[in-house]
Amino acid sequence: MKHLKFINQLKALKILAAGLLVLALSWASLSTGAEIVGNHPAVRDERGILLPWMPWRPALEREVAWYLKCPVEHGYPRFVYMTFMDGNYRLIEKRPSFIPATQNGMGIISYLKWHEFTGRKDPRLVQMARYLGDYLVKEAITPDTGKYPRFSRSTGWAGKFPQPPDCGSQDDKPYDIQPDKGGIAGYALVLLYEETKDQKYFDQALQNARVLVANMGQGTATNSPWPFRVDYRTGEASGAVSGNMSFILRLFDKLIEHGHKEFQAPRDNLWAWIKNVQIPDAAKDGALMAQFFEDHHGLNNRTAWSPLNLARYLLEKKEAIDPDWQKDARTLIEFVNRTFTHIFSGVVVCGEQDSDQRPWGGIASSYGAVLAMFTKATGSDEYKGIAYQTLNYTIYSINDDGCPYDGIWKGDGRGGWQEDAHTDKLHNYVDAMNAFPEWAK
Amino acid sequence: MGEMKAHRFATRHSIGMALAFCVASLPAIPAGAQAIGNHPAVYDERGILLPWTSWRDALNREVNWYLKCPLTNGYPNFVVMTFMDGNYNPRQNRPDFIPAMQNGMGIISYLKYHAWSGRKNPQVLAIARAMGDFLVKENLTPNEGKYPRFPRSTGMRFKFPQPPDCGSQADQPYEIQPDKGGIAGYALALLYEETKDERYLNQALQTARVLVVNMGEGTGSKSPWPFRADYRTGAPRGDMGSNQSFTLRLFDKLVELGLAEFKSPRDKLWAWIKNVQIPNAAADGMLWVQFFEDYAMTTNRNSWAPLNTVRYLCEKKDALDPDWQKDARTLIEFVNKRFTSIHSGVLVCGEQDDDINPWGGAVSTYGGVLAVYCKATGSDEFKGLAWQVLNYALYATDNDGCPSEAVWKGKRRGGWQEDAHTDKLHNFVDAMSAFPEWAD
Repeated sequence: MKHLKFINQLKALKILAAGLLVLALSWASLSTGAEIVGNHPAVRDERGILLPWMPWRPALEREVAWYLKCPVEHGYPRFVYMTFMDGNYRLIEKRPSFIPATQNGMGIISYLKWHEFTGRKDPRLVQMARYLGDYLVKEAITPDTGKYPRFSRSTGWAGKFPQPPDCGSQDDKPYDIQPDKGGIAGYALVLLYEETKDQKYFDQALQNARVLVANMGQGTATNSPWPFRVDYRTGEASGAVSGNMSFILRLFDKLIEHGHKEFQAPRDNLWAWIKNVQIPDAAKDGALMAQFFEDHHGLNNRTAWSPLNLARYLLEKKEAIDPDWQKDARTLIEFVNRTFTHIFSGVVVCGEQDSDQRPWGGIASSYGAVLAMFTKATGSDEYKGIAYQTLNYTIYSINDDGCPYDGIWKGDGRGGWQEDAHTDKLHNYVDAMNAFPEWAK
Repeated sequence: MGEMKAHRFATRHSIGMALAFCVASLPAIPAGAQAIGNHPAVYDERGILLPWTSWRDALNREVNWYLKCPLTNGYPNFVVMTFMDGNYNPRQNRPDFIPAMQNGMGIISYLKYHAWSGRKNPQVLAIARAMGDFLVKENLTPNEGKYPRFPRSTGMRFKFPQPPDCGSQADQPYEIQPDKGGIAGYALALLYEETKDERYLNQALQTARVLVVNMGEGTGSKSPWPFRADYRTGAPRGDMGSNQSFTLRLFDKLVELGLAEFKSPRDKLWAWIKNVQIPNAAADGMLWVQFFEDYAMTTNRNSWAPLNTVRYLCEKKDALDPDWQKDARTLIEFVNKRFTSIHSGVLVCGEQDDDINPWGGAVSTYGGVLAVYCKATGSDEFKGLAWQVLNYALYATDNDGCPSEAVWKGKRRGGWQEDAHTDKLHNFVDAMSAFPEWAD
């Protein structure tokens, strides 16, 4: 019996193997040469166009499933309280620095979008968003004193509950915060409130917004309404330009939508500066798109992240925000195209910033998603092919078990910066799949 | 007889119907309002740019348009001028002319197209001969000075022959560009192989011998020949001429034809390219400056010279360079890094530091060379880029076959003839030879 069972199992295995082989061959009939992209052999169609190593949706399902298995300690999955996590859910010891606001703020957005995209079936996804929100609300705010009281921390240290008052890391000084990161965290927390009706998320968003208004300056041709960094105790600024203003705008807009009219005037001031000063500047040297990343302090260091995320907002709101939304979005995209795009693995990809032009996962996927949204919103197919190919490229960061890598350009690997590997990537795929559902399959 | 004619008509009619069906079925795939060059853009469902008609059809239309070009002094008009409009007429404001490059690459284009299209149409070969005849009979320096009977890099349209002081664009009146002699000489050697007409070989030989006599020592800051020289005195202008692969091709071809005198200069030239020029592409690329006739800037790097060096490496492989794959990639990466940009949603290649617009010659060279590289190495890494950029370049060709010099300028006919046609056609043939399925 044992032997017969073995033969039957063998037959079944052979049939299964043959089936898998047929599937594999048909998927990549389609050339799979020796070329490797990220964690997988490259799959290309007969014209040489890079295809995903497996369809997007199941690849992303594997990734999310991998994160759902992340060990929970101190009440949070580990990736919620550390930025540099390896492929075994462990802290990369030599990199204890942490970027809670961007990482968890974009993470909340990612998990809420993924929850929606997948049919709102799995409560663990909202729970994950809550973990990210809880950390922001309970563990990652400044003391209730000074110019930026109870404001979201841009940087800190892995495994701190709460972050200490002098937790600034990377290129922040110990008491620095980054106002724009308060915008990201605040906006994400309002969305989380809308999903959960948990007031604490809304209250923190409101606090961030009020502190931002209290510290708002006049945007000019050489400075944004808030500096890039500020000492939360004294308000002492460093860096006149902060490129990412669209998330503060999102936060104000969202709060106005919830009846907080107090934000209307600052919102209008901010939008006027973005519309009349920042966007036109992108058609020139783009100096007003400088500074976004927490580990950089170059005053002239322009980034792709801010213009792309501003374009995303224009594409979402269209005429409701800007009668010239198509032209303005195109100006921003063209600025990115001419300043940050490169060829990796035969694909047009987008780098992060002047001082690091490599296609880290966050920025590469932001580029693809925003181009996809532009295509969908405008009806122009001009950038569609680039969007498709660059997002195919980025999906090669995901390992077979779902663990992603932060930078495909480095070759095969696991883990790394968690916002590049996962939290600032997932939402981009959802945006692109919403624009073109057929890309998911 | 009448029956034969009717049959031929029926066959051609059927082919025409089939082509019309193909063309009609292409834009069935979503074609938005976006126009590229002379046509509405055609994309597949993924947003990948497709050709507006099949490559074979577009190029057939284009060549046929040129086969109908009126003659002046026995030469098709486009052989004797650079700036020709969409009615075969000169552009009045641009009498300047780049005969060596335009007609040299034109000979290569027509010979390649002749072979690729089955050697059926003698008119195609006749065009190559017309270009060769112009180079041999009308376009030489006087038989004196340091560069006697040497091809002119620039001149003036409709001059038979070009006068001794014909230098134009950024050339001084008595200047030549040694590297353009390499292009013309190599093309004439190929034309000799095809026709066995000794005149072409003799001129190639003369050009090569003059180059050898004037050859200097290549160093870390200069090429074996300057970019420009006064043909009377040899006075140089510009230490660096980046295009050395065509002089190498010329020497190699003559060695192959039994002229061993070129072996030693060939080896010296190759040693400089291999050991000095190619490694420099991985650094600042300052040994890849100066190629285009209308520029005199001494730090103006270009994509043409490195890409054409890649083409030769990929053709010759180990017979030329044991590291051909690595060296070719170094040069491609140099070009990718410095000259590529996005036009109409396609990654394209520009000409030079001072003009990174994707003129027809540069953009098709990029696609042609990437395709040749993919075929030669077996790597598909750049294959998709090659296909897409050549699809883009094809939008230059108008419905009647008249091409424009630059897709990025929008709807347009004519212009620089090497960008519109003579330095473009051979790139498509190279790509279709590498991947025959791209033709249809």
